[in-house]
Amino acid sequence: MGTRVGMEASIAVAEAVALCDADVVAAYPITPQTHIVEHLAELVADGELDAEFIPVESEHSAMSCCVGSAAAGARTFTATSSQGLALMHEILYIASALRVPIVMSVVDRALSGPISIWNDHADIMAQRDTGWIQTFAENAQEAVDMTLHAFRVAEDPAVCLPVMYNLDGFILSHMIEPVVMPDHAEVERYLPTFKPAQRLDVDHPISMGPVGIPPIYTEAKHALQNAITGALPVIEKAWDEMAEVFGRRYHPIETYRTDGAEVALVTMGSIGETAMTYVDQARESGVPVGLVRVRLWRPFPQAAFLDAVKGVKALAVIDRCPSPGSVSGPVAAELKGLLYGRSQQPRVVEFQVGLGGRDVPVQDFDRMVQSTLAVLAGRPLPPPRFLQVRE
Amino acid sequence: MTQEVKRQSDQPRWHELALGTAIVFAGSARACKTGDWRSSRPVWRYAHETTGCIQCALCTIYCPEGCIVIRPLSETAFDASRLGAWPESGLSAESLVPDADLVYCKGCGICAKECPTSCIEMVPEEM
Repeated sequence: MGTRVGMEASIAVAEAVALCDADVVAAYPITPQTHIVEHLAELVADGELDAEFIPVESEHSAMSCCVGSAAAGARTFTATSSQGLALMHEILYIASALRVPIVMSVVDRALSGPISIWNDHADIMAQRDTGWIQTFAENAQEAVDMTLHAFRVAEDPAVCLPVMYNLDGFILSHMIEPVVMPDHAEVERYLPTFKPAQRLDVDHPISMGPVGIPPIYTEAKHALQNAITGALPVIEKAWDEMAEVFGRRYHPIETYRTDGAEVALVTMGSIGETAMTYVDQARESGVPVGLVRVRLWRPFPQAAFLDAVKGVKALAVIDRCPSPGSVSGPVAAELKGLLYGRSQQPRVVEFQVGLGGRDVPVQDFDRMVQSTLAVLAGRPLPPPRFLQVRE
Repeated sequence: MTQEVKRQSDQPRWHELALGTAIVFAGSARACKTGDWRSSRPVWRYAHETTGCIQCALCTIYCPEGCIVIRPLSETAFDASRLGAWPESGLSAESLVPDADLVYCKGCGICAKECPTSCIEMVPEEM
């Protein structure tokens, strides 16, 4: 049985990685991911986790190390944030192309400049097309559970893909929250021993990462596309089994009080918790609003999202990432792409909020929903905008 | 066009690639026909009074691709029936001479540059 403890989310993530018996951790410290890596270094140094901790000189090296380690058949973990994730960028594509099951915790933080150590989703959205499975946690418990889930999915022989799971920098990573830490036997029941589908082995030599000449590259990318979209049922099954083993249930798209809702807020990450508070208040005063939370971002769960917003008249979509010069923020663009051409599609009203650590209080959700209701009442669709900018 | 279609059909389909496009057997480079990058090809003058090939085989050493092979004259593009024009060469159809394997030759011209008798001419490929 798990133990209910009060623990900082970052420490809980590190403990969860240890519960998963990671073999290799290669990471470089960067705010606000630092506590995860520091605690893992401690666990290894104190002999509590039998793993190689590789202190590297940069995130580019961290991810390169992870590729080699996972290719050799080791259960491999790393964590990063913001500029660190950006520095990993080119290797992220290689990890997914090589189909190595690295697990990475991304502690979401804005990208410079101006220099910001605070939370938004610019770092992760820049990695949207890297071919990694991407999930989001809202609280410390979910961050622990997404850790276990990430290893389980990445190493599944039908998947063999790297997984990055996201937790918001500071507003989640540094919060001390009640967490049920699973015990080792439970984790062993949930997460089988890693048996790599393919690995570097001197007795059975293979070449990983060869050049993809023009007659091969398209087929290689199609294989990756097929792998990540084909991972959806495994991702869902791993969440279903999580419910069986730990009693906590997750879904690719999660809804909150959407029955009878005319407007649905769409959120990703910890902002969903504040949104729930808002929805509770708004429903009490008769505002027909519900909440749709995107837990799984890649592969995007199209059918589940369409099902979740069935009957909703408008979506108030929250992007936490500026996308200068584009038509929409990345989440809104994704949803408009999904909805385009379908009958009875909801209106999409977009808001870019919570950039670079700007707080998003409950009142801001009310402004977004009132603005969306005004669109339903006939007011012209406002352009995507920074809701919180001082005009 | 016909040639292009044929070449593509020789390549593996997407689901026939190994996991992560790994190469899981040795010697696969042989299946990778890279000579079609070439814009010119080396042509040897095997028989000529002053600038003919002397079979020193330096070209085989300089070739960065390792694609210059030693083979009987009759297996090269050279028309052995023309040997009568150069009786002093002492060559016969069975004589061993250097020749480029055009499946891999990139046409870099290093062989022509290094040849001590300047007997290799780089001839543009016809497009």
